[in-house]
Order: sequence, then structure tokens, then C-alpha cells
Amino acid sequence: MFDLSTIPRKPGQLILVTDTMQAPAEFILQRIITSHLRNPEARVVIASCLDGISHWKSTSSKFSSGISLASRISAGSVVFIDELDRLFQSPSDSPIDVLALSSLFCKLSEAMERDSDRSSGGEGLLVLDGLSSFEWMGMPMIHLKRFIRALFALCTKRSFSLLIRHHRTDNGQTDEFLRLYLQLAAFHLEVLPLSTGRSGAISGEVNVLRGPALIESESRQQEVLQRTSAIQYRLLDSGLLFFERGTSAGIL
Amino acid sequence: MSSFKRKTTTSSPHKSSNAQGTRISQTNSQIQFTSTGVPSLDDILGGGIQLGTDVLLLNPDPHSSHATLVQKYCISQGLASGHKVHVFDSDAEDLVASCMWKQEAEPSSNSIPNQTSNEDEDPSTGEDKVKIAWRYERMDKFRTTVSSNSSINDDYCEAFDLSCKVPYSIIKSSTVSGNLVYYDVFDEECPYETMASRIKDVLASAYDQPPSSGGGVTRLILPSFAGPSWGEPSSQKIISFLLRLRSLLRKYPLSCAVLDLPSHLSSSSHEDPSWTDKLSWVSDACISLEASSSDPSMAVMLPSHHGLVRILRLPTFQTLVPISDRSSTLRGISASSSSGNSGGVGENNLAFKCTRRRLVFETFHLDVEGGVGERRTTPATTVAVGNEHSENKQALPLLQGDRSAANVQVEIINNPIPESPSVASKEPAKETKEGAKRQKVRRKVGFQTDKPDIYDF
Repeated sequence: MFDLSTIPRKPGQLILVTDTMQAPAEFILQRIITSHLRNPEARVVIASCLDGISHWKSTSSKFSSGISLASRISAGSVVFIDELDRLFQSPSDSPIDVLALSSLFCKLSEAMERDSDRSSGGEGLLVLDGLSSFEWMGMPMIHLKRFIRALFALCTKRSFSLLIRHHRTDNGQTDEFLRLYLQLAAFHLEVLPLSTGRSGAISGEVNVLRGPALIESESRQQEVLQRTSAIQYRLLDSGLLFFERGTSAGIL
Repeated sequence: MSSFKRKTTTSSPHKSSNAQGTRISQTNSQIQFTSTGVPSLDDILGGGIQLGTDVLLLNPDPHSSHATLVQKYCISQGLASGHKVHVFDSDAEDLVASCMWKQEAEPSSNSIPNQTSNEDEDPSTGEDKVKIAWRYERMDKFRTTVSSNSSINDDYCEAFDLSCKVPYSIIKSSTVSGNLVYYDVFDEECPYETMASRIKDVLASAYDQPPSSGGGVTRLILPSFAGPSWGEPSSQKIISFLLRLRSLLRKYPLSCAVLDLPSHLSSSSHEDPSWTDKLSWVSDACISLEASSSDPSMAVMLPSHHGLVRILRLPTFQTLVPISDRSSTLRGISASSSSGNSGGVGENNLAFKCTRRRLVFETFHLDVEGGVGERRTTPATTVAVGNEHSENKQALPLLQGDRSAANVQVEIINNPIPESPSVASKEPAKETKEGAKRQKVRRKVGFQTDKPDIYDF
């Protein structure tokens, strides 16, 4: 049974999740966050440029099994930065100004620092969602690249692990942003739709690939890591089902 | 005492807490819908426009404007439900004046609304009734679309009629009461930023005030968004506007927006092959109405529809899976198949057509071999192409003559040859003249006999 929680989250390591319009990967983020929060001392900082906090709260309850994002936010162990809201506070500010990125960076580092004052035992996870929207709005790539690298250094310093979701729009071609991520990533979870088109039984498939930044000797023996043998999944209202290729309910 | 109980719609306990003209989703009580005015489009979207989200309509065909027609429906529905309607367009007044309205109430308005669906294509009754195998006789008639709710009391979605224009009195009273406001885009220096701040002011004034004025739904209608009156379009400006709009709509959850893009921005171009993808990520619902008027081959493939509907994205605000996956009858992903045990069901193809009275979204099925246009249980009607004119569309004169039949030239040498194609019939041989054009006998679905069946007891 495929278990997302077995993907190790080490400080300073990046887990990259890529998805497409036909197969959005929000559920992967939710799953990883939920499994991270199983440790009561864990800290999570989430920054989303495409969805607001109410959406995250309501969707996290699908996979809760006792862990509710809303309660953790109020307890302080989860910090949510609503970037969508912050970006457009004043209409005169152009969102593609580099100041927007630097203010986001400050907010993130402030959020991570605040957590480190508390229990030092918990692991930290920084989740970034929807950064591609900056690129689509016209932010120059150089600023974004610098932002990512600075964020990387910050995470290593504060011993947070990084989880970034990137939207692929180019039909399989890699854009600049993705190339940068791929250089830095320790793990790459690729969520793809079925190549044969839409299906009712299978929502898509997930590949777990090792990235170049993964240090082999440090990684625990990952028996459960699949390389390119993809696991297919089906998203339901009530939850998520993973199954091996050829074993979905429609076929068996 | 009469045991006959009148069936009325039970007013749900939630009704009083809803805003007028909205409905709470059955699967998720946090989600509220408001109607677009087209019941079949409401079904595709999962119940209507989800409050707090926007709907982006793409219209890739430059010769048709079905997306504007949908916008007009939204305006009419907003006026009918008493919502605040804000129209952002350089020709907003003319657009609103040309909106449709409901038919005047007639004494027969209590009758089933399905009658209106039949009036455009009346199956010939009394003639040659098709004999249906007994085991199928009780099945429901094959439906290709959903009709609006039958109850008169339900004001969620009105039955608009394209042949009726909205009465001036309604426009005037709405304008006076502040429910209908126009914003001219043309004169602005930087229309994107200005319109965005106007929208912010509109929403803030509607909802940040003390609750006496708030509580109603606000509809933001942006027809031909990023069109010529908005200045030079650039993908970055469009995307940042859409994101800004999204942040505002999330902040004020009783608002919704409907936008449509002009045709030159509605498809992925050479320079930007991922344009529609990006649009789908930054909007909540993205639907493309691909009309067949510019493409004759597509028009032949869809003889009774005006275009195909492509769903690029459906709203997933506060859910992981779009609500319409479970609740849409048109899309055909039924509830039973969405449980984990069954294999899934494929989705239906969707097409739309605009008749003289209304715009309908239907399921689209490919032709059965042999020329019958749609799966039916009544004999196929002869649909004249000329009748299906809409306000916005010129039907291509594809087919010669009234009947959708092949013109057959028959050359007879000696004896007249009986030519009727129906099976086992004993119709008298028809005389044909040399070289005369002859129309094929109308195809009949199903097996027919003239003499009594030997199995009839």
C-alpha cells in the first residue's frame, strides 16, 4: 500500500510535487502535511498563492483522521500565510514587483523563526503552493530563482524541510522554473493524468522519483520507494485510494 | 375527507437563512450556489455558480457569441432574483436592454415545462407508432438534457425565453434601487487596475457595511473581458486581474463573477501553448463553448447542435473533487460509480444548441451507423435547418431542401422496381420517372409490420 508518509522529510531537502490541470495534486500536499502533523511537536508553515485559508481548512478535514488543520492553526503549530490575499492588499502595488517576493520571504522567515522559539524537537515543514502564478503574472525569472535559492538556504538554517507544488503547463516540456526545482529536489512526486485520457475509475497516477540532491548514504533504506513504476490513484469525495496499475476496481 | 394530498415543495429549514435565489449544496453544506439562468449549465457546474468563485467562459469561434448569450442569461437571472448585478462593459446598457426575460404567465403555465422542450421539434404523433419491445416499454424516454424545476414556487432558476426581451420597467426599477449598475470600461487609462479597484469598492460597500444592506448576492458580469475596450491585452495583466478577482471573491463569499474572453484570447496560440491551462489554474470554473459555425466539417458532425462544450476546469473551492462530479446528470458520472467499489463511468460529451426560445446544453452522442441522428424511441423528425435560427448565429445552409435526406437519382429501364427500404413491408411499388429526383423514404427506427403479428394473441 503506497504510503506518502514514508517519503523522508529531512531539513534542507526539497520534495517537489508537480501536477497538471487534468490531475491536480492538492491531495498529495494534504496527505504529506497530515502525516507530518502526526508528531504533536511538528511545525508547518504554509504559504499559498492560489487558495485561501478557508479552502485549506475544509479540504484538510477529508484526510483528517483526528488531525484538523483548523485546530492546529489556532494552536499555533501551523502557520498559514494567505499570499493570495496579501498580494493584492492595495491595488496600486504591482504584484510583480520584486518587493512582493521579498515581503513574502520576510514573512516566511518570521513564521519559521517564531516556531523555533517553541519546542526545538519538532520537525518543520514549509509548504509553498502556487508559486507558478508569480511567473504567469510576469515576475522576472531571475527574482524567482533568487527567491527559491534564498528560501532553500533559510530552510537549511532553520532545519525545515521544503515541499513545493509546481504546476506544469507546457505539455511535458520543462520550463525554467521546473529546471531549477529539479536541480534542487531530493524527491520528485510527479502526478500525471492517464495518458489515454480521462477515466472514471482512475484519476491519475503518481510517480516517485529521486532527485539529484538526495544524498544516498543518508537516506534510510527506502523499500517502499517506487521509482518509475507509477501508482495510480482515485480521488473520491470521501478520500483517496491508491492501487497498482491494473488492479483498480474497474478492472478486477 | 379527501385522501388526495397536494404535493408542494417543502420549504427546507435552510431556506430562510439563504440569501434569495441561492441554494445550498446537498453534499456539502458550506457551499452555496446561485443559478446562471440556464438549467443545463447549472447542472454541468454542479448546481449553479458557486458563491465566492468565478466562471470564465471561452469562446474560441470568432463568428459566434454564445458566451455573451450566457452572460445575458446570468444578468436576467440576477435581475429576476433580486441580486445586485454589476456589469462592466463599454456597452453595458445596450447589453442589458437586449437581455431575455421570462414568458408572461399564462393559464397553462402550471403545465409541465417539458412541453417547451417538445415544441421546437414535434414528433409526429398518430402516424406509424413504433413498436417497442415489451421489456423496454416502461423505460423512461431517452433524455439528453435536464429541464428546469417544475415548481412555480422555486425561484432558483427562471425559465427564460429568448423571444421575450426584458421589460424596461424592470431595468428602470433595478437601476433606481441600486441593484443594477453599469461601469464603462472604455474611458479608463489602465482599465485592469481601475476595474479591479472598482470591484473592490463595490464588494466592500456591499458587505462591509452593517448587515442591513448586505446579505444579498452580488453578481459581477464582465462580458468581453480583455476585449477591445480594455486596451491592449497581455497575458500577465489578464492573469493578475483574475487572481486579484479571486482574492476578492474569496473574501466576500456571497459574491460571484462571470467573465468571458473574446475569441482571440480563448484558445492557446502558437506563442503560448499553455494559455488555456494557465487560465484554468487561475479561474475557478473554465468552460469553452466551441461553436461549429466556422468549421463546416464540425457542423456536419453536429447536425442538431451549434457547438461542443469543453470543460477545462470545475470549481474545487472547499472541496478536493469538483462537486459536479457527483451531482451532475448531464456529465454522467453517477453517484454510485463514485464509491470506491465500482469501476468508474466515463463522462458524456456535451454540446449546446440555441433554439428559438432557449439555450440548451445537452449530452452529445455520435451517430448510429445508418444515418439516424440521435438515439430515439420515437421516429426521427425531419428537422429543418432553417428553423434553428438564433439571434446571434447564422445557420449554414448545409443541407439542400427541407428534409435531411439524400437525393437519389434513379434511372428506370423497364419495370418499376419497388424501392421502399423498410423491412418486410408490402407497400405497393412506387412509380418512378426516369431521371426524377426522389426522396428517400423517411427512415423508421424499429421493426414495423403492416399485417398483424402472428404473435399477437
